[in-house]
Amino acid sequence: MTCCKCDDPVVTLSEDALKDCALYEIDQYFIRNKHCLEDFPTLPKFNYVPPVHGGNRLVQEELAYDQHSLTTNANDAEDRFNDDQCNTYKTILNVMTNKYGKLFFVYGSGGIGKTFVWTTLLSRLQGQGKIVLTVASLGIASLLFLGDKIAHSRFKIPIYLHNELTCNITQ
Amino acid sequence: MKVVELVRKVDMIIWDEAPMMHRRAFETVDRTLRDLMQLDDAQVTEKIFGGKTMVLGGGFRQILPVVPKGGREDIISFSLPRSHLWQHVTILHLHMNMRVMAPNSEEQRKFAKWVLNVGDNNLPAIAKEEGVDID
Repeated sequence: MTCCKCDDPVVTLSEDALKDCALYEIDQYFIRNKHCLEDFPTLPKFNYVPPVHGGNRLVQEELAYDQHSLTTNANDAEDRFNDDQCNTYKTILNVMTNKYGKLFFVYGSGGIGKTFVWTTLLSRLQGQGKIVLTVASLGIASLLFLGDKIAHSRFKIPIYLHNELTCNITQ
Repeated sequence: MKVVELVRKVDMIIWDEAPMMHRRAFETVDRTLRDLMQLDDAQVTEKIFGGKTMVLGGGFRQILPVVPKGGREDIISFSLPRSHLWQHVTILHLHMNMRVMAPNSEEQRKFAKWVLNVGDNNLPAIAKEEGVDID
């Protein structure tokens, strides 16, 4: 039973779900040895469909948001935009729906509502089940959003930078 | 392994306070994303950030990248607009300061104005002498 991957404090599972998950793992061991759980009628059955993302915890975390309440948040926030914010927001969303990558720079000094635009973008897109990563260049700014990280830590950017480096993300 | 899958599945990346980052940090992430995304589509190496939507944000009146022992030229040459990525950027301006729109924000308004003046180099620079504070 210890083989179950569900002991992560972030992912909370009910007793039954945990049991299903463990039985699934046991089944996988059987399958590797050319059997399956159903070959043994004395063993319990399970209803567990493995997540599509191959059990990648990072991907699951990013998809585990409450989509309904996020969409409600986004709707509320959209009503409170001023014209500038609304244009920025729409331009970025438009690119997202047309699925061509683009580089944006949102320019504005303090108090201008950049963070507000981003939390709304986050809620809208995560509410649609998309994965959006937020990173910041320094620790204080990284506290503004839920799940935000410092860029160096998220992308494993090396500290000493020269021209031909890539991040320490291995395949 | 895990981060790779996450990064490949990402739809958008929001990067806050971008101007205070060394331009090579962006270039490093750009190269990495192109490299990882070509597993799905070989053409993607032509696209900046491997075809991902990247939203950077911040203000250039704030802190620029820290370059150890670097002078003015070094700091500017390592700032984001000197990167080859900058030619692809779409700049979206936000103008209206929402923080000073709130009622009873006289102090905030003064401060915002002062900060803008510092950024625009309209205030005289006064060297700090021993025991005397800068006005």
